[in-house]
Order: sequence, then structure tokens, then C-alpha cells
Amino acid sequence: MKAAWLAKRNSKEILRDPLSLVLGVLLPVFLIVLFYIISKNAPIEVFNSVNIVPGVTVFGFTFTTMFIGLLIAKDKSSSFLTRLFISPLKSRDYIFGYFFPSLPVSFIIAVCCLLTGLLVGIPLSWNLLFTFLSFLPFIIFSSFIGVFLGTLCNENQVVALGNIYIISSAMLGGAWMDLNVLGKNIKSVTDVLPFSHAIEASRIILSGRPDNIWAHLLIVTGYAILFFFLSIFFFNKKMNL
Amino acid sequence: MIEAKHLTKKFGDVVAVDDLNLFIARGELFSLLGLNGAGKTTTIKMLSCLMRPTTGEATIMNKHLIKDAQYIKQRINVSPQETAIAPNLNVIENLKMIAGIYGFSRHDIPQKADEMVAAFNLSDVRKKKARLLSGGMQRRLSVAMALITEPEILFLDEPTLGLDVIARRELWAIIRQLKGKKTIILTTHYLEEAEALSDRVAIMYKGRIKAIGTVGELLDQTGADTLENAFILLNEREII
Repeated sequence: MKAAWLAKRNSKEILRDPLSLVLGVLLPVFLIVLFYIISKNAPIEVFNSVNIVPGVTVFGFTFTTMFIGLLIAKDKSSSFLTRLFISPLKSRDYIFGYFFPSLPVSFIIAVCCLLTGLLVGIPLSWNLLFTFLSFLPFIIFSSFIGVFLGTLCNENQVVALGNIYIISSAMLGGAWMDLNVLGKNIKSVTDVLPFSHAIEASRIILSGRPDNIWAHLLIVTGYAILFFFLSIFFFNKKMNL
Repeated sequence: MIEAKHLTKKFGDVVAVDDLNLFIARGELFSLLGLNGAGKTTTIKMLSCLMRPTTGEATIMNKHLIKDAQYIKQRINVSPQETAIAPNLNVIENLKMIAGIYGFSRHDIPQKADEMVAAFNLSDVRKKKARLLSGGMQRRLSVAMALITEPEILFLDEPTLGLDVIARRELWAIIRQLKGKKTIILTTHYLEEAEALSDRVAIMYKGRIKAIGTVGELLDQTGADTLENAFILLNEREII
């Protein structure tokens, strides 16, 4: 399968970049441990391991957006994409080839965060597996927004917008804070964005609360589908495919 | 092999390539020369299925440039102006990836990659990441990546740009070995390069071909003693 060769190359490009390890894995693990220490001194609900681990894991996934966006932007500027466009690859091959690397990268982030979670008090149970599965719509969303950014922006723009996106997702997703402190107006904005829903769905599962996760997952899935189509549309348009 | 009829490319009001008519025979090494913005790269982009012409048409290996693009893409390759390699993959991985993308079987790919490594003197750096190679080696790898797919037509867009004189001569030797076996379309700013390598040369100016022929024919046509002087004379006539 021709697309698999491109996907393999893209995965290696990301996984062999030391920055991927530092930002995607070490930073989230460090944050989980840090919040665990803080929670020992300041017993705030949001710092509990069942709340902080999903929040920080989703925060970690947002880095895959930056990794994929930067990879595409670099491939554009280095003419690597020109080489590929002259090849017999088809439109769907490019989309798969650039989407796929988010899966192994996100898998590593999720496993590292959840294993660290076990060390800071999350009980070992099947909920860990279901929590992992609940991340999937957000992983897909993060990947396609990366394809979207990389298609439309150059390297500098991806870095700038990617940083805004990562910080915004953490703040507006409530990764390590109660969103109610932001006030009613900002809270209503966070409710229509996918970040808080991705975090809340996994928090519900991990804590074993009997709340409904499907409404949260539906919103995140909607964003994933929206950016799936947007990334395909703009990729084809921009690349004259 | 390659035939272009009234090929034109416009970007808004700007005419990048204007009514280009061209025939390139099988096995020929054909050079496109011109000042910056003459339309060389746009011509290559159109003939390599990367860009649709605004008007006119072309056939590559008797196949229609647009309708049979997929057929053509399988049989051509390009070494772009910028060194287009995967920086975090090593030499052998870069070669295997391109062969895989062109649909070669997993059984054949390692052997083909080894052949290219040997042909391009990259054996000592086969496991080295591409970003750590010298400029000359990166350019050799880029050409090797284009050749591993066994193209019938090879487009070389400024292949020696930025290389030192030794690296340039090494690449010339490789290109000479391909002469007659592959149809090669070369763009270059180095006139001595075109003179040393080409069977025929076309000089473009503002999207149009102003002169075409062997180096000897161009010298006769202009009365110049070198290709460089012929090139300057042809461009001065247009500028004046």
C-alpha cells in the first residue's frame, strides 16, 4: 500500500524528533507529577488524579496538532511535497499518510500519562482501557486540525497558531482548573468547543461516575468530522489535487 | 517522447509560459536555459503533471498530459530545485520510501535501494540521517530518489545549484552515465553545465523559447564563440 510508506515516513519524522518526546511525553508526565505534589499540599478537587490525568493527557494530544502541522509545512517549504505530488499517490493517500502518525504518537502519550496516573493514585481497572478509548475522537480531531493548519500555513505560522491552540485548549478545556472560575460568558464559549468535552468524558469514565458521556463524545466527534472534511477540502484545493 | 503544442500558463495577468512548442526525443538530454522568471520551472511543473496548463496541450510518451496523468506519473520523476529529502530518515530509508510510494514490491525494494547507494557512492553514509549529509551528498541522494523508480523521463531542476565545484563535477559524471538511457530535461543557470551535458538547448525569455538547437547551432545562429555569449546576445536582443 503506497500510503503506508508515506505514513511510515511521517511517523518516523515525528518520533525521531527529540522535541516530540520532550513536549508530547515528558511535559505531560511532569505536569501530572507536579499537580500530584500540589494536590498533597492543596487538596483541590480538580487536582485529584482522576481529574488531572485526563486533563493533562488531552493537553498532550494537542501537541500532535503542532507536530503534524509543522511536518506538512516543512514538507511544503523543502519541496518534499513537490516530489510526492509528482508521484502516483492519490488524494486519499496524502490524507491517510499525514493523519496516521498521530495514532502511534497519541498512543505513546496516552500510555505514558495513564501509567503515570497509576503511580499517583488512579486505581488499576478496566476503566483505564475505556478512558483510553474515549480519547480516540479527540486524537482524530487533533490530527486533522494539524493537517488543516499545515496545509494553510507556513512553518512560522504553524508555530504561532499551534502555540495559541495548545494554550487555549488547556485554558478553555479546564485541564487543570475549574471552568466556572472563568465566568458565565467564557464558560458558554468553552461549552461549544471540544476541549472540555474531551476531558469531561474521560474524567467521567476514569472516576466511574454514572454520568452520560455520549453527549460529550458526540461534540468531539462532530469536530473531528468537521476538520476531517475541512482538511481534505483545503489540502486538495491548495495542492491542486 | 515529449511534445508540447501551444502550451501556455497564466497566473492572473502574468504569462509565465507563452505558447510553448517543443519536441524532445527519447534518450535526449534537453536543457532549458533562461534568466530568473523566464518560465523554466513552470514549464517543468506543467510537463511533470504538477501544474495544469491554462491553454495548449502536451503528450508525454504519447499519453495526454492531463487525461493520462496517473500513467505518466508512474513513469517520470523529478529532482526538485530544493533538495527534497526526508531529513530524519537515513539514506537507505529515503530510497526505500520512494520506491514503496511508486509501488515496487517489498521483495525488490531493498535490492533497488542497494543498487542506488552503490551507483551514487553513498555506501559510507547509507545509515546516516539525510539532514546530516553534506550539500553534495544530499543532492546525490535527491537524484538517486528520482532514479530508483526507474523513470523513463527525468526532470532535473537546477540539480547543481549551490554545490561546490567537486560536487558539481561528481553529479555531472552521474548525469553523463544516464545519457541515452533516460530522457532528461535539465534546467540550469550554469551555462557551462548545459554546454557540457546537453544534446540540445532551448533558451527561454519571458515565457517564450527564443532559440533552440544544439550548442553548435546556437553558436552559428548568434555568431558567438561560447554558449554564454550566445545566451547573453539572445537576451540582450530582447531587452534592447
